[in-house]
Amino acid sequence: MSALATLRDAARARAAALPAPAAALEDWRYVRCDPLAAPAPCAASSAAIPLPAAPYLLLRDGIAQPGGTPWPDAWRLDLPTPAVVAQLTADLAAATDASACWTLAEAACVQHLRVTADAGRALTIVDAATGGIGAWHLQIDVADGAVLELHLIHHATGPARALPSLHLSLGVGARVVLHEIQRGVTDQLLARWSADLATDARLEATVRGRGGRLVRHQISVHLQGERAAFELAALLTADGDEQAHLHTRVMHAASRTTSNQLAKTIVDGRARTSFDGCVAMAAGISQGDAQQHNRNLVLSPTARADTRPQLDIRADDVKAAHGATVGRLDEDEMLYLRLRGLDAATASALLTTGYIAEVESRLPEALR
Amino acid sequence: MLAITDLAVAINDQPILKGLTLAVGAGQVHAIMGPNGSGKSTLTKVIGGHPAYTVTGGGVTYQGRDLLTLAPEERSHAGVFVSFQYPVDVPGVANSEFLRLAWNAKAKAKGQPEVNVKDFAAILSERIATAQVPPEFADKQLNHGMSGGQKKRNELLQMHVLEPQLAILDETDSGVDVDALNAVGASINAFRRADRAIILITHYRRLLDLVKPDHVHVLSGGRITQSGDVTLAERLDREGYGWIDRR
Repeated sequence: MSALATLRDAARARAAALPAPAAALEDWRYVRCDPLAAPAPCAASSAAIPLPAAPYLLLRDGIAQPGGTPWPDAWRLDLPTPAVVAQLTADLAAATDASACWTLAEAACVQHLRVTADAGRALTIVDAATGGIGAWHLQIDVADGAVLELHLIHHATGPARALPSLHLSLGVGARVVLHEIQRGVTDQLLARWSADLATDARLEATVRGRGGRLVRHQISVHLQGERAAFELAALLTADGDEQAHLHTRVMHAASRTTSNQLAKTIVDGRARTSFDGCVAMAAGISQGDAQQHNRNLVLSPTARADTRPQLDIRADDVKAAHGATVGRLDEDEMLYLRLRGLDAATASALLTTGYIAEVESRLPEALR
Repeated sequence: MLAITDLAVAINDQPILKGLTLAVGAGQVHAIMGPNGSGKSTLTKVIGGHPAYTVTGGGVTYQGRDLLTLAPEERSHAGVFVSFQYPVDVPGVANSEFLRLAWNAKAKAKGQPEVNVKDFAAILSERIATAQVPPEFADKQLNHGMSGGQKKRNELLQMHVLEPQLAILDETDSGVDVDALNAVGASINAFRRADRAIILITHYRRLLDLVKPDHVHVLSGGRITQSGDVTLAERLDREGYGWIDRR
C-alpha cells in the first residue's frame, strides 16, 4: 500500500473518531456548519482556470499539475519523505475535530517542495475547485537562508468543497512572503496553512479572503527559533448570505520572537464573519512581542461579525497587546473627511476603500 | 467674519460652553487660552459640526450665514477650516489623493473645474513649499504612521491646500518639537492675509511668540472671561490662570 493510501486510511479512521464541526465546538462556535452536512456537490465544471506564465503548481480538484516557464533548480517537487509522512501521522493524532483530518482523508495528492535558495521569482499555487471535493496537502521546506515568494490562489468555478492544506517549514534565516487570495465564486473552502519558523526566520503573509457558502481560513504558526518573526495582514469580506471566518493560532516558543497580526473584515447584507485568534507565549521565554488587532466593519443591520481575540501568556518578560473593534464607519473619521469638503457618500467610499487598501496594498498588483 | 453669540453647548446633557461670545474679523489672529476642561476643544468641535455636541443656546454666524445649520462639508466649502487637537488616523487613504478629492470637492462646490492627478501633483508640490512641510508628506497615508507633530503639520498642509477664509487651529503646537514649532509658526504666518482670519487655541505662549495675535482671550468655565492683547498671554505664562479665577 502506498504511503498516501496509508495516510488516507489513517485520516479517515481518525476523522470518524472525532466530533464533526458544529457550533458546540469552541473552534467552530461562530460558523454556520450546515453546508458541511449537505452532500458534497460533485458536478465538475470544465471552466478554464487562468494560469500565470511564471512557474506554477496547479492543483485542480486536488490533482497536481506543475507548469509555467521552466521551474528553477532551487525548487524541487517530489513525493513526501518518510519524515513528512511521520509528521502528518502525528498531526492526525493531535487533531481535535474531524475537519483537521478531512484533507488527508480525501487527498488526491500529497506533495513535498524543497526550496534550496532564492529563485528570484514567485511560485504560484492555483488551488482550482471546479466540482466535488478537492483536497491536497503540500509540505514546503525552505532551507536555511533561502527565500520564497508564494502566491496561493483559491479559484472556484463551480460548486465544490475545497480542502487545501499547506505546511511551511522555514530554516534558519529563511524568509517567506505568502500572498493568499480567493477568486471566482466560492462555495465551500476550508483552507489551512501552518508554519514553523527556525531562528531568525521570517514569514510575511497577506490573506485576502471572500465569503462563500462556508469559507474558513485556518492559520497556525509556531515560532520555534529565537528572533523568528511572523506578520499577517488579512481581510475577509462577505455579503448576502455568505460567511467567512478566520482562525489563527500563533505560538511564541522561543525568546525575542515577534508576531504582528492585523485581521479585518467587512460584512454586509445578512452575511457573517468571525475572527478567532489566539497568541500564546510559552513559559520561560523572554522579550517576545505580540500584536494582534482585529477590526470589523459592519455595513448592514442584518450582518454579523464576531470576534474572539485571545492571549495565553505564560512568560513574564514579554509584551503582548490585542484589541478588537466591531462597528460601522468611524464617526470621527467621517466628520474629519467631511470637514475637508467631501460629501458623506464620498467620505464613506474613501474610508471603505482605505479600509480595504490597508491590506490589499500589500498584495502584488496582479493579485489585487 | 465670525460672530459667536452667547453660545451654550452640552455633551451628554453636561453643559460645557455657558454663554461664549466672540467676534473675529477678517485679517485678525485671535488666540484662545485657558485651563484644561474650560471648553476650548468643545468650541472647535461645535464649529466643526460634531454630532455629539448639542447647542443649547446662542448661535454662530459666519459671513452672515448661520454656521450651525450647515453640514460639515458645507462649512468647508464656505471657507471654514477646523483642525482638531487629535487629527484622526486614516490608514489606507493616500494623503495626496485625499487632498486632491478635498480640492475637487471645493472646486465643484464653487462651480470650478476639477483637477486630475497630474495637475494636482504640481499644485500639491507648491502648497507643500508654502506650508513648510517635508515633501514626503505627499507620499504618506492620511495621518497614518505619522508622529503627533507630523499630524499637526499635515493639518497645516491641508489648510494651505484648501485656502479657507477662517482657520481654527486647536493646539497645533502640542506634540511638536522646537525645530518643527518654528516651521509651524512660519507656516501659519505664510497663511495670514488681510482677507483671512485665524483662531489659535493653545496652552503655550511659545507659539504666540512666533505668530503674533491681535487679540488674546481666556476661556474659563465655558465663557470668555478675559480679553486683551499679547501682554495677556505673557502674564498667563508668568502667573497661570489663578489670578483670573480670583477676580
